[in-house]
Amino acid sequence: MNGRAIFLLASLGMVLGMLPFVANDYVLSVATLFLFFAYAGQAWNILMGFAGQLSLGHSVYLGLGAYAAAALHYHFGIGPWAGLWLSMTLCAALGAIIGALAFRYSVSGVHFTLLTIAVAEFMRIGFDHFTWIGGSAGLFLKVSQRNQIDLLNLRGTPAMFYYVILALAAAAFALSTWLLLRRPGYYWQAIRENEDAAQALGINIFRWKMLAIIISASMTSLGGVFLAFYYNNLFPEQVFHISRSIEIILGPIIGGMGTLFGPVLGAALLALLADGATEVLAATGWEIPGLKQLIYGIALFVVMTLLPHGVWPELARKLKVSK
Amino acid sequence: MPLDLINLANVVISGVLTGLVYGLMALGLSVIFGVARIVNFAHGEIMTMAMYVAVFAFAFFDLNPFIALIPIAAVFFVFGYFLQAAVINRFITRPEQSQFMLLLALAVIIMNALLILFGPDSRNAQLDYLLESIELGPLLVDRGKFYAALVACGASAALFAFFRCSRTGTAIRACADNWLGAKVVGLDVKRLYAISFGLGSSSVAIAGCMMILLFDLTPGAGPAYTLLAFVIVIVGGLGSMSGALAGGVLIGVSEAMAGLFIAPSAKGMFSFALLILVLLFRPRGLLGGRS
Amino acid sequence: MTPLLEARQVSKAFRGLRAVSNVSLSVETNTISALIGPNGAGKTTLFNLISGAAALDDGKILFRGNRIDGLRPDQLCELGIARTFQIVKPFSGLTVLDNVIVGALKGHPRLSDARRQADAILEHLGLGAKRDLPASVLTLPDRKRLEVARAIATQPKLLLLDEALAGLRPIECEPMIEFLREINRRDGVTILLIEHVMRAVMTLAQAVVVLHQGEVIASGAPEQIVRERAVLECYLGTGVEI
Repeated sequence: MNGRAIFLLASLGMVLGMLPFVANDYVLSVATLFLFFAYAGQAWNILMGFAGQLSLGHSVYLGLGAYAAAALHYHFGIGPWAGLWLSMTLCAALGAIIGALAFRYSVSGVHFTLLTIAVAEFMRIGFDHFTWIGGSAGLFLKVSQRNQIDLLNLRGTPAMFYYVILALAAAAFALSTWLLLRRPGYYWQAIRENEDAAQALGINIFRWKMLAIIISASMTSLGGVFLAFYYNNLFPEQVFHISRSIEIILGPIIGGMGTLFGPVLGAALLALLADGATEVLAATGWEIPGLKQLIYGIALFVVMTLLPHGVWPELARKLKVSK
Repeated sequence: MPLDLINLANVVISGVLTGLVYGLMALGLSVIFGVARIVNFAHGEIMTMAMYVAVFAFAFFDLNPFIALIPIAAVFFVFGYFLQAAVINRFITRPEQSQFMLLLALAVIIMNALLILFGPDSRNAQLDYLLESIELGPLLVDRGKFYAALVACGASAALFAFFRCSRTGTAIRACADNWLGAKVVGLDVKRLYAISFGLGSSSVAIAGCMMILLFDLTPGAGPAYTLLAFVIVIVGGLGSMSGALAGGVLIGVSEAMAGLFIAPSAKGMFSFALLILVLLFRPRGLLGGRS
Repeated sequence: MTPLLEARQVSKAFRGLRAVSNVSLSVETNTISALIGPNGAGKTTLFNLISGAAALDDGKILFRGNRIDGLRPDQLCELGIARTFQIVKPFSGLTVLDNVIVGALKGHPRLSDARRQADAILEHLGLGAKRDLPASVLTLPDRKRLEVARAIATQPKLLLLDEALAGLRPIECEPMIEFLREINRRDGVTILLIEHVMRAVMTLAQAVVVLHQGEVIASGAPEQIVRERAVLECYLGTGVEI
């Protein structure tokens, strides 16, 4: 990465780091959501942007990760820092199963996408009937005290949550960078571009695809853990819903799949657009449910027709920065 | 246990009838995918739109869905035609994931536009005479379902006839079989794709008109129908028209049975489990090959 | 000495059509051999069988005396067999250099070493100036060269070239021919090439195998097979006087 890129990144980092000191609660909550989608988008990007497998069922990892950690906390009082290991393990296993079956049986392209959707929907309905974790009525964690910070149990102020997700997003970015610029990145992209050629160059397609899905699933599960403790409640209908999967993919697609900064930029644009719109509406006194999603849809449509590679590649060129 | 058997039979018949309407819906998707290879993720949304039109036609103009479906089918044919011609045709040469995402965007737009325009409340079209049941011996058949199924069969038959007998239909089948070859022979592939999408839209619109007699309508209903259509089409065999209908009936019956034997809310799991299994082990479908 | 590559009575049929029929051939280490024949003779199918892209119906393929039929293409690459494709398959979204690095990573665990090797190969093939361009903007001749560069980067013992010269103008063929001769002589890479450009075959190949309708109809030194009746007939038809 060239000097300019590092400079821009550092500036961004500083701004984000300072935010809680200057912003009000509402801005902070928007920023938290933005960072969440930046994080989840990065995780998804590894499977799609790098390895080229379109998963529209990533909500299953959010949900499974969220419920695993939440259930441990709710039933056994186990804190999220321990609980997240169960979340990651379960999601890694699920990703491995989906991958093993799909890649072994050559389920690719759209079929793979449909498979991921079917798995997520299956789990959604399944969890609706899973009474141990509350079923469709939901699982409620004890609401946090707003002014006490209990990092161990992830209970605390909005600022605390903000920094947690900021750290996660930063870690995800660092991991993606590290992966992309080394053998995994090269091999995944080769698989994405042309599987036959990649195989002829010695790449074990199955093994590398499995690696991608397992990493992607595990990372996404942590996002789920965060969600559980940030919102303090979980409903299968919401967390496993296909809308979550769609929200995850919007950032990377609009920002630019396969790039490092794309998911971040995409998440930021969406957060700005949608919340800007809601703000405007709130000012005029109207409340239009569904407007945010509509804007997301329009943004996706516009990007797909005009800038199929996303906004970031163009912007990067203008800023003279690499991926 | 003759009573139980009759109950079971009623449930199966109900499932078959509903399944025929599902089948028509899936048929539309099959035409779109089988010909233009478009994975129409907005399929359910198009149907939901048609359902709203039908509901309002009934509420404001007193047009019952059986009549309204004619203009609705025509309107949606035009809609589908132009959607393909103006927007989607540009995506034919792009990787299929791009198409998928474009249609996903469309689905999100339509679904939320409907939510904004009509609000989240559920609606339906209540026709009193449809609430009666027809008696076939000891069996009870829901009149509304029966007529809806008839319409579905009629529409499907018309579609089949079109593809078998008309010139355009044959051209479209040629196109589906061999895109490049069709072009070489001078067929206007883009126009044929547009016609196919139009037909697919039409079919799903008619199915929608029938669907409001069977189920309640909410703006968020689209994705569930889209997924259902995909389950049916894949289980029945992508590109196979008869497979789509048969698949519809299969899903209709199994949903009905699942509703009877297991918790009704869990019946969705069955469909998705079936989809997963078929995708993994028999991606060409259980019932058909190519149409 | 055991031949580097040996095919013994290999057959492959596609839905009843015998694409490759009872083909036996052997390629000696450090040689350059050519596989020629009219279109549809089964040459690419044979390549696919050797490189693991298709499964044999009958027969065996041996590499350094060990059976390799049934192995996957990536396993064969590990063993030292590399191939190019008749219809080139570049990684369009990657730069020229990155394309070759993918290949070089096979033999070089460290990225910096892989990059250095990739650079050297590109220079050698005359693509050095274009190393940072996306592969999608390359012309066909350059793509062919990239294809070869990528394959070479895996440090193969056996290189299978599928019409690497097709579509190149004579003036573009020369450097490639030179390059192939050099990697054979200097690095000991054994080459088996499918070619229609006869000049390349005659100047490069020490051994030629002629396929026609899936069967071997002649094999031997270039000058010798060029005179064989069967070969002439399959290219020119019967009733031709030489």
